[in-house]
Amino acid sequence: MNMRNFVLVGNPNCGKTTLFNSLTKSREYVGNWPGVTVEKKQGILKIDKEIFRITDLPGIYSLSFESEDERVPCDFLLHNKPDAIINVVDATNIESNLYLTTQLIETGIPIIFVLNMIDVAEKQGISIDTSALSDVLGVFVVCVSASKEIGINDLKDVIKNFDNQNKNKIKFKSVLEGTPEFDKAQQIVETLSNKGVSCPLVKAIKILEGDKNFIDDIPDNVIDSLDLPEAGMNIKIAKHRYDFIDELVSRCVMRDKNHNHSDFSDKLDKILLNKYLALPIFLSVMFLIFQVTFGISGNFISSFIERFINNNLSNTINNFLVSIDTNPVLVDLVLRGIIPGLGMILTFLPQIAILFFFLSIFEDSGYIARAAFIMDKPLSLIGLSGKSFVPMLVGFGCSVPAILATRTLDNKKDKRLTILLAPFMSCSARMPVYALITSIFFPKNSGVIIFSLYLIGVIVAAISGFILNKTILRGESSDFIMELPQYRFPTFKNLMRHVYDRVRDFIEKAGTILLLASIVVWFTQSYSFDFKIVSDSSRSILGTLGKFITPIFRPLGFNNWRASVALLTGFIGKETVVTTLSILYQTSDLANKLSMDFTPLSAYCYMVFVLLYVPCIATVAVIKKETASIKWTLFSVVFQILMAWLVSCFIFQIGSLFKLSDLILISLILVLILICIKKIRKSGCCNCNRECCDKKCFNNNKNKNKKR
Amino acid sequence: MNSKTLGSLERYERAVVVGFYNNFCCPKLVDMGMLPGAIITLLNISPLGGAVEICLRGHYLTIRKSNADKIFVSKVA
Repeated sequence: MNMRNFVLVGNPNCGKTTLFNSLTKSREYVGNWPGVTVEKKQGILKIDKEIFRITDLPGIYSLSFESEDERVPCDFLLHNKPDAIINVVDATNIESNLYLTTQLIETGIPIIFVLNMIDVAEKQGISIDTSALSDVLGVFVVCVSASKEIGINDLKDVIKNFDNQNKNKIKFKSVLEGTPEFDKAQQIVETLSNKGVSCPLVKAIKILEGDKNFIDDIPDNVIDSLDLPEAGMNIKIAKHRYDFIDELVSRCVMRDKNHNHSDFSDKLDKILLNKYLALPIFLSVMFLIFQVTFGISGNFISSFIERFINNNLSNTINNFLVSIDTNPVLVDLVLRGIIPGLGMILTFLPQIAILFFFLSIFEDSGYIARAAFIMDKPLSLIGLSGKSFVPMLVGFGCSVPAILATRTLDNKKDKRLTILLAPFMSCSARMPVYALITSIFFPKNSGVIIFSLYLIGVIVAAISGFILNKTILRGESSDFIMELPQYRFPTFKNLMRHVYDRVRDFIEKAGTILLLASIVVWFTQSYSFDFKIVSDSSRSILGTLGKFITPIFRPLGFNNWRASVALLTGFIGKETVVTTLSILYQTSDLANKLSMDFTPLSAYCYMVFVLLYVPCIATVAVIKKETASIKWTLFSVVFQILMAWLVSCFIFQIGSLFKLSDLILISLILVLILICIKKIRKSGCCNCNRECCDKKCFNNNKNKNKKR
Repeated sequence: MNSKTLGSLERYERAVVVGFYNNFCCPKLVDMGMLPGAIITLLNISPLGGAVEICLRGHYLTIRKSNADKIFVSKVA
């Protein structure tokens, strides 16, 4: 059947995915920052037995592209020839959104113009004359509010009757018509169409603008026959477009002067981006999240579930299995494999839910983009831009989406470096390990200890970034052009949906991969290599393997095969570390047995190792997919294991010389000294008290040196 | 000509773009409307330095200070 294709196109963060979700009844991930969607998503819209295919695309500002996520919509529009474009426009910011529309017109594809967030625009005193807009642009105009589901039926009607109405009402090919630049473009169009190039008008104008991506796309012999564009042409063309937009807006959009359109965001930014307050606020927000997640609420709920599983559930299942005469091997599998393995993991579910609840607030409120703005300077020191901070923050939830989020980065070097560093951000799968170990060894200050682990992850990422940037991934940091979205109050529905999705993912993972891992661990620890049941698990398959690799970890302080084996199984996913430990030690007296094998220091080093080494096979697979190179994937794996080993070895060796409390004190003093030295060096660099990277100062110094 | 750079503006100061260093401006900024004649407000300076937040045609954007220093502006008439 010939299904009609509609494609959602618009600026980043204008609500395309929200609209997509309400049209197709999908549940794609939405958030309040530009770049949530990085790949195309397709869904089906049903209206009275008729079906339509809807495609959701990443947001773009124009048909030029720099990053991978921007390339997707440009390629789709120019090669897939959809039946119509649904151009989603943020009604509160119509002036800037129309720029893309003027380029979409040039594709010759019919357009449905959707004014999203119309309710917010009305509140801000913006009124839009839709019929005038429709007349001038020659497009269908529909007003909707995707998040409040207002006007969705109107849009469905337009989609349904799209064929019956005048197929292409657009009266002109381009808003540039009548300008000298358009005549030049026409000449290129003729050459291109003679050579059979598709969408010649769009490409001709892009070539005229000097867009390298489009010029490289055209065969050399064709390019040679063209007049090469002069510099600054893109400014002239953009000027014509914006002149057209200004005229259109002055005719169709009325603003009530009494409303200040972004009062709330501005006021909030005055505090959150304040010169002195911004960093302390950012850090204390992060600290508070960990305190709440691991401290009060998390532990309370977890211990409740743990007790329930250990006491009630085990006994009930045991009685049940014995009563129906189950094979004793199976009973053993369930009681000593699956229940300790999975049960232990599920006790951490509340903590994971709480962490994702906070991360969702970060994403939905729009604060995540501000965090990137604050962190741009430190990231520029390792050759990245603030944009790389977004994948890293996502990495606190899970490394896999973090690596996918690097698609928004503008160049290959940024992308590779961010992919290498993002796994050092401690993901939620590592949490159970911390929670288990701190509850045994550091019960009083688990929040602080866990926060220090997250900090170590960040510091190691910074140091490795610095080293990599100086060696194999050299290059200037790229431009940092990013839109800061308006703050929005996170909706309860959205928050719950995010948390629910993550919790469901986690349970799914527990029911599949982790269940399988528990069974394998149970099997390999109860049988020897000749498949005989062993009474002492150190002589089992797993025990033999563990004893073989244990010497590697001796310098790190944990000299026992159970701990080493748990790290090995941890490659499947970090939760498996906990699963394995609890199967190998058996839950009832896990705390006592663990404290015999670990000292607090070696337990801390164990957590550091878990923090830094390869997150899981899923992450390795995504790294392979995103870097499209086995060399880089292998490098990242080796690099992470090496860093994990070096850092925990360092901490253990230094820590053995001092007490842990001394160590924390010493590192604090060291940091203070470093900051002081930096301050002194800065003020000593030149006479003015500004940053020494100022060009003027740099030149002054140069001149001074010359005079000498 | 009484022109300054975008990077040297005070907080909440409005100005109009008059030109670019070497007549070049990053294409992405051009797409967002960074053109001679456009009115720009500097909103925030990154607390650690290095970047500024500007308002350009309704876009709230961050750009590097080094880029902002290459954009010439003059006072709004």
